Amino acid sequence: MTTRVIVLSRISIFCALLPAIAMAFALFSLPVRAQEQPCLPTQQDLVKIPEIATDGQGHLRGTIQLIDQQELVAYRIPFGTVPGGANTKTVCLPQFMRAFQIGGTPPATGLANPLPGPTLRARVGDIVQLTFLNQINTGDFGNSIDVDLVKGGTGCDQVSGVYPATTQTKGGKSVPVDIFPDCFHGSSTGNIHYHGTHTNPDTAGDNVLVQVRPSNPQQDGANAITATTYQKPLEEFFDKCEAMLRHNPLSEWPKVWNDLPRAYREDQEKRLKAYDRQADQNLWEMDEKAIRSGWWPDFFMGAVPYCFRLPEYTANKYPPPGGNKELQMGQSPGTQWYHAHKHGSTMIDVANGLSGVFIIEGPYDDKLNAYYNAIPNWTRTQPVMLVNQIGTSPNLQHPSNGQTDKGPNFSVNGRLEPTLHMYPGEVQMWRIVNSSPRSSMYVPSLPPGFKWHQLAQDGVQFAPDNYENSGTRPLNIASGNRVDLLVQAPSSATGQPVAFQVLPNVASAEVALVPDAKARRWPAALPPPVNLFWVDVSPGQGPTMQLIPKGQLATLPHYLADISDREVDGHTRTITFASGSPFSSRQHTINGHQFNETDRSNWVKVDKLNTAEEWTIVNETSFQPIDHPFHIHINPFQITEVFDPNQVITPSGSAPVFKYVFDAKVKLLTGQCYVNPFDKSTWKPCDNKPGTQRIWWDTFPIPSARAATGFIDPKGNTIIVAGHFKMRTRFVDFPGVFVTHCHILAHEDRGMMTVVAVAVPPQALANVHHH
Amino acid sequence: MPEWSIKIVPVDPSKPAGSAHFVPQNAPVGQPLATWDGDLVTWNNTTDTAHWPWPTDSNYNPLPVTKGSTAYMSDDIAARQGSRPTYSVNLPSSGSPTIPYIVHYYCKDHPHDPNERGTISIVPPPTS
Repeated sequence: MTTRVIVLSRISIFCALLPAIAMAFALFSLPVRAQEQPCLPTQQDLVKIPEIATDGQGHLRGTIQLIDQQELVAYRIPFGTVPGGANTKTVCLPQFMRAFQIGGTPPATGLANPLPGPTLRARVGDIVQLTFLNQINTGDFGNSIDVDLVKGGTGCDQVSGVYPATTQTKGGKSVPVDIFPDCFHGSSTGNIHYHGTHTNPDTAGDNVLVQVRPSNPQQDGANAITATTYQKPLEEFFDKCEAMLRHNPLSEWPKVWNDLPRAYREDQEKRLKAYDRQADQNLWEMDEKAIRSGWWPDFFMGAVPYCFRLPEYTANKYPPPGGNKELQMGQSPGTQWYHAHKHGSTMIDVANGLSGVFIIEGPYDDKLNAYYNAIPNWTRTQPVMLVNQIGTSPNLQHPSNGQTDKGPNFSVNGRLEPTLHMYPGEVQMWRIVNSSPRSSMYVPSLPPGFKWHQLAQDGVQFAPDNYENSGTRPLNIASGNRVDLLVQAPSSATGQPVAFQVLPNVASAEVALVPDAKARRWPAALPPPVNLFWVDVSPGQGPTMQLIPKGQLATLPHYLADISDREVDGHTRTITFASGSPFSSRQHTINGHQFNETDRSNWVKVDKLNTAEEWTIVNETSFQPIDHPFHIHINPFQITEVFDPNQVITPSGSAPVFKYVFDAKVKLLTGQCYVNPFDKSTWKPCDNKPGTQRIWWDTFPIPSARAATGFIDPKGNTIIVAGHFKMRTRFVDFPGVFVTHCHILAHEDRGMMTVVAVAVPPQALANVHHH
Repeated sequence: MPEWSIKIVPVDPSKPAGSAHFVPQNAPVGQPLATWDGDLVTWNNTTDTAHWPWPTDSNYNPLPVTKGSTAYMSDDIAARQGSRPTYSVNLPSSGSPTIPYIVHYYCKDHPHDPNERGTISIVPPPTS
């Protein structure tokens, strides 16, 4: 008995000591897994993102603050594997990350989870009045402020012995692969790009040349800029801005520095001068030069106001009867988004989570609401899903043995594989934004039993016929693209949640494999499908709904009429994107140039406002398949031609073959066409039908090039048959300076961007900076 | 790949320019910063004086590293600034290092201050 008591006592003592033993074990293993934390489980309910919404009186007013905090970040191991690959696993670590929040949000208590910036919800015609605060603590990221302006600085981020890497020239000279300003840098500087807006690109509009340096209490103490610092002067500014914009949708007020409130201007000048002294920079000097020239300055401290209108087209035909004095194009209602857009750090900032959804409502929504509200008990559920590849810093900043070269796993609203709920027969409107800085999502189909139609692309509604014909088409949602889908659940419960799967890719040749893939060392197997999210169709919660008939949709607004040959009137250009092989110097270019504020020869200058142009957007990249997603700010475009030299078809009774055949001796199969590598005029689709009611985009992947093996040019090089698409766009309503770039954001940061200047006097262009 | 921050904080908060500690992210003073091979590390100087992380041997004698090499940790970090360049932790490429491999460092500006010493532990990244 005594022995048993003793034994029990020993067991009791052991149990009592278990936590201590566990802790000792944990400490023992501290160096191995000390930082690892349990990941959030998958298949949790989709997170609803907080919103800043219109007041219903014509204003979207609020504050977005840029902060940093420790968040639980998921990494795929082993490093270097592909998403969804066999034997991969997710581990989670606490990491300092940048985040957008609604102004005044208290700091997270403990470890935060990634969350997109607040969803902005406005109405066409609203005036956007947002205060942007940059409160990043630069100390948490090393010296990540822009240091290019410090005397002797190289300007680029630096990782000892790793970044910027160097390469050998033909002469044996060692040169950096990335050279300022086309390198990773400046990730503590903030701004916002309102992707998909048709508005003022300058001053307080969708101006990505603005650079806001951080000011935060940890580093600046009581002198830090907070939400209250400029509250009164900026309220006055917003009131005046409204008065200036309300009655003239073409107004681009504010126009000059003096349009900002005096108290704000004086304080900014004082702070910038103090910052320059402390950081050995000359920001105020450059601002002053711009201000004297009547140009908007680039550099701000801690806070900047955004004030611009989302113009509503009210004419009852196109073009408007009042000619150029009237608005030529309205803001399309639809799913837009916003994100950090500081050249040199768009990739790292967006990967950190600096993106959010911007829903702009209008007649498009009214008609849907009218249809679905008319039937009692029909729901109007609109899940908003912002997809991202959340990560810390770009692969190039890590040693080559640790690269996650296919990008992090997709998250939706900050979570991996969340779950949506539907009931059998329910119809929902899914607003999906691909804010990933790298990868496209190819969606072959929805799970069995689901019906769907696409309502809009890139925030611009489909013509009713396009909506009706969209039901069975696969989707490719590139970085920057948005799709609005109307989805109907199966008529009976699914029992288990079903996966909505996508194939991550950066080129069509990754999801439609080319016949000579092995010889070219291109992908020879499809990427594993990954679960983007799950849909749980549970029994009996409501009546069976219907997909809206096309006749009940909002009619296509007049300003979305197809751009005609007559409008283009011969105004054409060719813009060529190209990437050199990995670790080549000056790797990513447009028209052979990297982005450079001092080399204006490569900028696209559109002399006159209210003109339409047709651009041929070319991709000469062939060493591996990269369909650079072409993006242009301010004005959407229509596609009239796509030439993909790597297009694969499967004629009846044949294995997959290239659609385009280079060798004239080869007998063509049904559907194939000859393209003469020596004759560029033949490098075009053989069956192009531009059609009518063309879809509008603001981001579209340019098909990769294809090496014409065996065809040698006079210099002895293999001929590269470039891919291209042709697009038409209207440069209307808003003169100014904006950018076009590759939406694989690491490419943009490293040079694949150029300026588009619309009706801007040459002397004003001299004051543009962006780095 | 993960990134980590080591805070440089005053030992005595009332003397922000005095002796400092190195505080690893999510660990107390005196513990190593736990990392995986290939991770990035920066230092966040929250004091009112400059500090300079410099690699040492296990007895805190400085190692002869040059700027631009992978062993170089940072330039001298001014008061209330972050480090530059970023330091990439690496297991030795030759031999069979003991795992976890420990990197020692001290403050080159205050080499005789025993408070201003720290360690970083490195293990291979997990594969499963």
